[in-house]
Formats: sequence, C-alpha cells, structure tokens
Amino acid sequence: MNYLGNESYLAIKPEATPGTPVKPTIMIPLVAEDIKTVVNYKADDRMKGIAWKSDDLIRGNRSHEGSITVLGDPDTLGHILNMGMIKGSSTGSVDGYTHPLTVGDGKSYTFEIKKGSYAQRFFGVKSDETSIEFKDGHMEIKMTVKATGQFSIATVGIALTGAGMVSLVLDDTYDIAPNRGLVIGDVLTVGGVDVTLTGVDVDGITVTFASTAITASIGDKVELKPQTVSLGAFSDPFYFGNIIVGFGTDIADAIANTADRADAKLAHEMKIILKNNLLAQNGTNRMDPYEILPRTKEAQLEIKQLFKGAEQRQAWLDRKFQAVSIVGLGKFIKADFSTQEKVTFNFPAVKLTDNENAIAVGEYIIDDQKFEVLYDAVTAEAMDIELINKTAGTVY
Amino acid sequence: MKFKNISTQKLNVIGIGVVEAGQEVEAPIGFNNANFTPIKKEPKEKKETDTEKEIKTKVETK
Repeated sequence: MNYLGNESYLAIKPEATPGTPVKPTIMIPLVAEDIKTVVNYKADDRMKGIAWKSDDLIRGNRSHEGSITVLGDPDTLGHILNMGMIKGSSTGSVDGYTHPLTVGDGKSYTFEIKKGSYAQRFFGVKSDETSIEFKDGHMEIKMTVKATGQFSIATVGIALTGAGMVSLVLDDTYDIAPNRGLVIGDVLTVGGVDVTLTGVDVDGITVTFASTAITASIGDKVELKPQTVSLGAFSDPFYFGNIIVGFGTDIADAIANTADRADAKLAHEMKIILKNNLLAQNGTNRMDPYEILPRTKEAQLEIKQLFKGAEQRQAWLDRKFQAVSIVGLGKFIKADFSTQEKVTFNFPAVKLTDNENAIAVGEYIIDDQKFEVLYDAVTAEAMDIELINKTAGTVY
Repeated sequence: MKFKNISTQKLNVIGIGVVEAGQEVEAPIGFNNANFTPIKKEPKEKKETDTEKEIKTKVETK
C-alpha cells in the first residue's frame, strides 16, 4: 500500500513539563516536514579476521532535528512564537485574544506527524530557528526544531499469546526505555489489533491496556496508530499586501509610521529570522539528548525595497541605529469590526549589516537591506511581539 | 461506537464531518482522535427475577 503525503498531519500541544510527552490535540495543515531521528550508526570496523570493513553497526548518541513549514495564519503563528519566546498574560475574549510575547525561553511541545501507516511522535520539541517570509503573497513559516526523543515503531519483547492480554513488554534494542514517548490514551497496533493504553509503566518497557485477545511473536512490530484528522476553523494566513512596515529613529516613531500607509515603507520582499541557537545536550542518562537549552538569542531582518534614495546606504556606512515596527493585519474577529487579527513585531534598535544596490538591464535598482536586530538600552529589550487572534491564552 | 468532542471548538473530522464542541457522534471503526472520548454505554437496568419479585411481594404484604 502506498501513502500520499497529503493524508498526513502535524498535531501539536504544549507540554506541561518540558520533555514529558502529551497526546497532541491541535492539528495544523503542513506544507512540508523533514524532522529526522539521527541515530548516528557507525560501521563496527574492529578487526575480526575478515577482509571486509565491517560485519555490523554500532550506535552513537541520538538526536532528533529538522524543520516544519506551515502557513502563517494568526492562530498557528501563536504556537510558533510560543515555542521561541515567552508569552505573557493573554487578555481578551472570543472577540479577540491579545498575546504579548517577549524575548525568553519558549514552551516545549510534543509533535506528532502521520507517516503513512504509523505516527511519529517527537517530544521535548523546541524552536531553534524560525524564518517568517512571504511567498506568493502570504506568510509562510519555516521552523527548525530539536527534540529530546521520539516514539514511532517499537518491537514486541515478550510474545502475546491470545485471549486476555493486558500488557505488552517492548524490546530494548532501540532504547533501554522503549516506552518513553507514549502516554495513556495512545493507541498501539500490535498483532493487527488496536489497543488503547491505560498505563505506561515506569519500568520503561511495559505498557498496559484492557484485556484483549492478541497474538504476536517476539520481534513483531508495534506501531503508534495515527489519529483521525480533525481540524478547527483556520483563518487565512497573513497576506503580504496587509503588512505595514514602519521605520523610525526610535520605536515610538516607527510605530507611528505604521499608523498611516502614506508614512510606511513599501517593501518588495521581507523575511524575519528569529534564532534560539539551541544546544542539544547529549551525555549520561540517555541515548537521546538529555535536555535542550537555548543559548544567546538573535534575530535578523531582510527587506528589499525599490531604490528611492541613498538614506539606507548612508545608514549602513555610518552604522546608524534605526527602529522598525512591522504590523500584519488580518480579518476582523469582533462582530462590530472593532477588533481584527493582528501581529506587531517591534524592533527598537536595528543596524544594517548589508546594503546592496545591484543593477540589472531593464530592471529597477533594488535597495537590498539586511539588518541585525540589536539590544536597545533605552527600552531594555531587543524585540517584542503582540499577537491578536481567536485562540485563548490557555491553549498556549 | 459513540464519541464526544471534548475540545472547546468545532472540529471538521475526516469521515464524520463538522462536530460541535460537546457533541456526541457515531464514529467509524478504528476512529482515534485525542479531541474525542468514547461514550460508555449506560448499564441496562437489572430485571427482577421471579424469586426477587416473590420476596418483594411477601415483604409488602407483611
């Protein structure tokens, strides 16, 4: 049987305790995904009396990393930002919730991705780098992540012999705690039978379920059963045409310049890059990373405009501080059209690291700008974000 | 088997359709979704046996 990627899903949920898996309930349509479990196998090339490199593989420390690509609708964007920044107290109601986000360590999530007949669950997922850009006129987000573990396929360790089976012992070849990643309520398929877990034993190898007739031999595969897809109501992604970019001498000036489109800068292309520079710490205790820690955070802005004057070149040569406020507007939430979906990125201190004015025959000259987002001593922050959407703060 | 949408939102479910928050629906075999919980059937009311009826009648007549 073949499986089409379109039948897959990404389900996510914030973890109450970082690294402790939960069963994800929030399903987000994926554009692409390439999160891999890197097992670091190595050919066992010890001398064994044979004129061949190796007769087996040995393992190294594992890592789990890769990227997801999703569209930047206001509710999905909330989860993406919640993974990379600290969300403060949300306010509002079903007429629109306001979520303030500041620089800090975001929440750890559990991801689950359907891969054909099985689901792959990653837990302890943290945001490493988030790239927010606009392709074909709408916001698209590519986020690279690191995780502390995965569960997808396991192996029967002790045979199941027919009627009245209430537990399953998993084989320890992949890991000495093979049930790590499972939670109560998960459905496993073993011996062609689905069982719903009622317990995940602390011994690391046993899972329990209601009495069921199952016949399975040692070595048979055990699959984490994919969920049936359920989707909430999704808003449109933020459109590039509804983005307003304000530049200023300070952040108040930049915000003021977003209030009127006449004062805003006309951007041709734009990309916002947020980095957490995660460290996946391998060591004792586990084959997987024991913990994932953010290092220094950073951000960059890339903006292309049609060249209208040499102000940005002067700012680049003089390493001049500028402030940037980027506002994205979406659909109105409140029935009286007083509250709408909105995201505001405020960067109080940026400086140009690159400024190019490339020339091509028949084309307008482009002002190609790359900014480093800097810490602003006046506001005592490097950046902040405010998001208004239809998702209650408790969901994050 | 019947399942209840325990999420706080209306969900569009593959193979079922739109399900309101709190709504109970009949789901196809193999249904598995963390936003839904199975509805346990109410235990049927126990029928009185003839002996139980006789005892009850005797007690009432006393």
